[in-house]
Amino acid sequence: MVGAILLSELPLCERGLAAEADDEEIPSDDEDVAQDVEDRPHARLLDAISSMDGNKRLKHTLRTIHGQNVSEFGFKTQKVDAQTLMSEMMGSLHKSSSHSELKKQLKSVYTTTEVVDTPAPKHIKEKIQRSVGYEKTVKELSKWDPVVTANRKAEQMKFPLEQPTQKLINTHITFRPITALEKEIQAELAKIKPENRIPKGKLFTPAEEEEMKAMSLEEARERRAELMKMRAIMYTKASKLRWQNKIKSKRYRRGKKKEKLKQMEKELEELAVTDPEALMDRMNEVERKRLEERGRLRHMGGGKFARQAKVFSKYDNEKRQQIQDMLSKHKELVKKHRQLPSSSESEDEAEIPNVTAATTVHSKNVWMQPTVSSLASLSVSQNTSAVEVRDDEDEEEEDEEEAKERKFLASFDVDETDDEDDDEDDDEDDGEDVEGDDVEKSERSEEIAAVSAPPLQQVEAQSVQEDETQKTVEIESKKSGKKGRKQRGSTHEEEKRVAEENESKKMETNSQKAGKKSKKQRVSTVVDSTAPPEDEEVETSQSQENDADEFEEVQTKKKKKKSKKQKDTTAQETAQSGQEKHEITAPVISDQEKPELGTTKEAAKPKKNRKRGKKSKNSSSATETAISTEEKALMAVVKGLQTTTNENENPNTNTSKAKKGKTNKKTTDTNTKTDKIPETPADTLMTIAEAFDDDDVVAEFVEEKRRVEEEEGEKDKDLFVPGWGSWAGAGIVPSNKLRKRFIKKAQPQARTDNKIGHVIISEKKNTAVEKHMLDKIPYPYKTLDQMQTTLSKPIGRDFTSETQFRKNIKPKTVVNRIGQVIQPIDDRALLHGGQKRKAVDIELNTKKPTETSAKRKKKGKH
Amino acid sequence: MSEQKSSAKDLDLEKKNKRKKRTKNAKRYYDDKDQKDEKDDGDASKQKTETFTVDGADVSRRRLAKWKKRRMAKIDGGDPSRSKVAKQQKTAFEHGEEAGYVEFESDEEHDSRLSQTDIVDAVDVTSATKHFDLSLKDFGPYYIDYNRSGRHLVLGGKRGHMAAFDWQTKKLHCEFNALETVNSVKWLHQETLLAAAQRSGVYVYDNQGVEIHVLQQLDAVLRMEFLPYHMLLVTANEKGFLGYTDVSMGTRAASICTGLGRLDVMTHNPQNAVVLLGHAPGTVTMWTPTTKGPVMKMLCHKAPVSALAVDSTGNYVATSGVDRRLKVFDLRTCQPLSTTRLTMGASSLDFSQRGLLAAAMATRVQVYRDVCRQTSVVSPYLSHMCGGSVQQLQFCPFEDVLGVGHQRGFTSLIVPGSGEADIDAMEVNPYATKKQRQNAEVKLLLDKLQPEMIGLTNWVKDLSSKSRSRPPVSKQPVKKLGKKEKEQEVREKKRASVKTEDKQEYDPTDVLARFRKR
Repeated sequence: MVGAILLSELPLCERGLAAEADDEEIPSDDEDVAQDVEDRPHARLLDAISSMDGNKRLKHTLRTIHGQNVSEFGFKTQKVDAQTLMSEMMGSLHKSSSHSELKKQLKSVYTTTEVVDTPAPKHIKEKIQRSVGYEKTVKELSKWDPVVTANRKAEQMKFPLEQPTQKLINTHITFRPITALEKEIQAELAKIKPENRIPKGKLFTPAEEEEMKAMSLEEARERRAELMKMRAIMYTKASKLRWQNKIKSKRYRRGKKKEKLKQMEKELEELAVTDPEALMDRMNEVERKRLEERGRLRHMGGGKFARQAKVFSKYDNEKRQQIQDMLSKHKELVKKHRQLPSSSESEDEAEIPNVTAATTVHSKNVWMQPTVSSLASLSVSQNTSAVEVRDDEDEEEEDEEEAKERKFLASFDVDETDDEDDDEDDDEDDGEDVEGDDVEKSERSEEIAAVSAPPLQQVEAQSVQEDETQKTVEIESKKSGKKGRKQRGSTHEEEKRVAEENESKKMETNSQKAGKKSKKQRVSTVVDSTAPPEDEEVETSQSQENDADEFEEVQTKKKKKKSKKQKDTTAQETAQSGQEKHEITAPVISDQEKPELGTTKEAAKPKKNRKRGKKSKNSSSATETAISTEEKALMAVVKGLQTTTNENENPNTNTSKAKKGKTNKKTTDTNTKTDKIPETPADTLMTIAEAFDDDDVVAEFVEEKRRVEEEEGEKDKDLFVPGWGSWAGAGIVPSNKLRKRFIKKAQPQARTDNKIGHVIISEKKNTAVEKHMLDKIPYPYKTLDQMQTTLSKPIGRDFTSETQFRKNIKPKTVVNRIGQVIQPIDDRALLHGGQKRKAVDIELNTKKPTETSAKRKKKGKH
Repeated sequence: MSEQKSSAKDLDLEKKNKRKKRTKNAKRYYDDKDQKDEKDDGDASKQKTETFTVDGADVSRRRLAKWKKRRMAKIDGGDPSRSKVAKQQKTAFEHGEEAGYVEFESDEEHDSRLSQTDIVDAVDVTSATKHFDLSLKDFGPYYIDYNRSGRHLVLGGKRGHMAAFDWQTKKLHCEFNALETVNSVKWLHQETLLAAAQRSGVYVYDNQGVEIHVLQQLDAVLRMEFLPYHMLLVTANEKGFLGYTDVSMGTRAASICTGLGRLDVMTHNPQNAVVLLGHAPGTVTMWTPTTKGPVMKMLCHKAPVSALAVDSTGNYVATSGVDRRLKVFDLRTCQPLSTTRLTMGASSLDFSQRGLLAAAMATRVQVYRDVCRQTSVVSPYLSHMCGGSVQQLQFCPFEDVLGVGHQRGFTSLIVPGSGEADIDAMEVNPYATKKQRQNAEVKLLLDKLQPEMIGLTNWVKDLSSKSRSRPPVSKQPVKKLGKKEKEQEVREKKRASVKTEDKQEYDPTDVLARFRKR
């Protein structure tokens, strides 16, 4: 700019100087003029010569007329020698002492300014401008390159590109009402008086502060002190209460309870005097509580209720009597249970006295026979189990309770001494004697149970079985309870002795059992749930081996003659079946022995092992119902099988049928025998298994396999042509040798089941599948392996994450709602970091309203 | 005097001495006593310290155990002696994949004495309700079926009594009498449809008990299986026919005459939808709808096969026969994994989702653990006696429950650790709303597999036999084509495609595209 200014000013300055010079030096000029006049023709000549080449040139015509108006175009510009230099023009200025200002000006011009080039011609100027402009626009547009490429590469474009984002607004950002409702609310808020508003940086409104000022300092202090005091008291009280609540001292608690009781007594006395009705109410309330307590059967000993009852008994004899009755009743209930071990004194059975008692008394009763009685006992024990079990398990607690009760009874009035004595007697008798009444009662209850047992047996057979294990647990607990009692060394010495005897006898019986082989069988049959014994394990493994051997042997013999093979196999089979029969018959025999043993034992000691009894009951109840249906099912199976066996025309079928007949007989026998323990279905099954052993299943299978192999395998090709290499014609029989030479033998097949004897895997091709199969490897893949590896990676919705799945199925097109105008791209798109952003981000980009608006504003200014 | 004095002095001295002595004695006595006491104390303290030092950890552990016992008892609400189960139930954290089972502390306890009452006592209230018993004496024995989500149960009495209900809430959907012999019941793809194999044919009912469809051509059906991914109802009948019915289309996908007699033992492999049948000659056959004969035949027993079950991985099959054996076969090698001798042949077998095996022997139900991982004889994990002889067993999916249909009704047993705990709601959702159920149905139809896809091997990856006869594609010389030639080629291709369409050939790329889309 400075240059431009100088350019415009310099000529003026020169002009000015020239004008001044003209004004001052007129006389000297006259001489020059004369010289100029001489030069003129010379100049003209020069012009003429110079114009000869045709180019337009500025003429060297010089001014002729000295005047005020000087044309600026008259200056020479072309030739240096013709140029007037500053020094030439201003040289005289040095000499003169005047014109100091001008000198200064000149000086400044010399020092500061540079001479500016002459302005370029128009076309060059334009060219330069164009090139500069091009560069500028290129630079500007190159900003868009990443955006454009990204958009082009994007698999999916969603318009509008700037998707509105749903963001949560932070609360710290000042709130501006936008919606109508918000504005309304804002307006309402604005109506609040300024005195009721909380100013910024303050806790209270001006109005509140005013109020606060109203209370004087002293008053406030007093009030505060008061509050503090109250709080302190509250705290100490609370802590004290907490502490008191946590006191575990029995003595303290007892004292406290006594205090309470005393207070209550006092109240009652007062009430008796003042308000008898209220007293009656209280008594009624107590009566109600007693009933509740009675219902719950938790009225023993020195409980809260009992203590209260004691207080009330002073005023009501009836009540006292009631409580007495109640307690005695409880005694009875408990005693019934306690006496049980004592009843087993005579017998060696100590576990289930209930059952034994019932059986001994009612031996004639049909319902009281072993199985049923056991059921009945179960039902009885079921009924009382809840109480009994609890009693037994919480033995110690109960004893404590007993002691308490005794004390409690002693504290009763002297009038009740007889009762008390009785009670004490009861206590002593507890577990030793059998009181007549009690026995009767127990019997009665059992009778009832027994009568109700038959329907129960059928109806609740399931429940009984389910509860069976529970009962074992119960009985165990009983045992433990008993032991505990013994250890405590209570006065029951006899009982102790008896228990010892029992134990010793048990040991004896055990040793006896151990001696017999039948024991194991019994265990295996009776205790179904236990694992088969080790012997059987061995046996099974052997049988497995046998199976394998069989297959091998059969296959080797297959090559030999058929008949021989069959014989062999049958022999083998029979041998094996013989073995198995041996195995199978053994338990059968033992089973036959078993009931005998059982009966003898039962005869000798009717209350044998409890477990045994229960198991027999178990089997009788469960299996009896099951047997008939099970047998039917089995017989149906057998019938179904008979068809197949008939097809085979085995001579063995007769024997098998005979055996089946036997089994049938057996089963019918078992059905007829009602009093005996029925045979387990396993026995019948065993015989059926025997029947099937005779079927030559293995040989049949091997034969089938051979047939399938033949069918599916390649066949020998007969390439023999009669007359080839020998004579042919009528009457000429080609030699077998030659024929054999031309038979192309089939290659032995590589079947998948070649090494697995007991399996036939079909080698037939599944042609139906082929329509779903590819017959060409599709484009991106070159080998089958490549394709298979890709295909083996599932990409479905079920195998990948939902987001990945959505990504996979995203349409590769422009997504746009119908009617949505696609706006030209805005420079807002540049804001999101051109190159960095990828195709996927386009739809996910987030608009930042504040930034963009700011930028827009800036752009608007420009 | 002096003497006296002296004597007195002496006396005094004596006295003094005596006193001294006495005090000394006393002192000694007390000292001794103290010492003794100290000694005692010392001993006691020593003992104490010993106990704490030597097995301090033991003591603390014992204490912890005691505390736990008490705590458990409290939680159970029962007495500590009964909380056997609770004590032995170890957390998933401790056991990893073995989570959910009841662990027994000793072998003595492990003779399947764990009864349902024990379990019910130990578990929470909600779980306890999962053990229940339906006494249905008149129409048994009962066939049962849980639907795929495990929420709904259908009971079919042999004598025609049918009932469908949500067994968890005990909400009855329908109950009616078919007035015919019912041989099998099965839920179809959803709980809205159920099929019953009756004497006169297979009837399809909705969950309100309304008869929707009768498939009379399927007569005398004894067993049914449903293949959910193929929407096929497989039926096996008395005469040895195996039928595949497409439930979505209502068409018969296949009908195969097996020629193997009465088919009353059937199951299917959940992994490849191959149907397994058990036969009288002790064989087990495997069937697909597209092959004429069995794709595989195994000789498993020497006596008739009475029950079959395939585990959820499809790798193991358990078989039981009248020969009283329970065998587990590995289907990959076709070799027997284990052979167990039972008290009698199992009449029904079933694998749970977690691999427990339940077997029914007359009235007894036994559950075995780890049968697929052990080669030796296994002792039962649980045992239970039912009221009648068991007809059918089935583990409830996604629940620790075993359903037992028997002569006298139905019993639901709790079997800890049997069900899969993780539910894939995209696959089967027990808690599906109506909308979700409807969506699932649509999805099931869209994803339906064709019956030809059933097979023992995964054929999908292979090329068809056509390609094997052709020369490989890559070896053909590639020419550069001009514009005209290209156009010519396109025209030819079009013509060829029209021809192939006439021949009804498949465009392989099309198949692939479809495949990839899925």
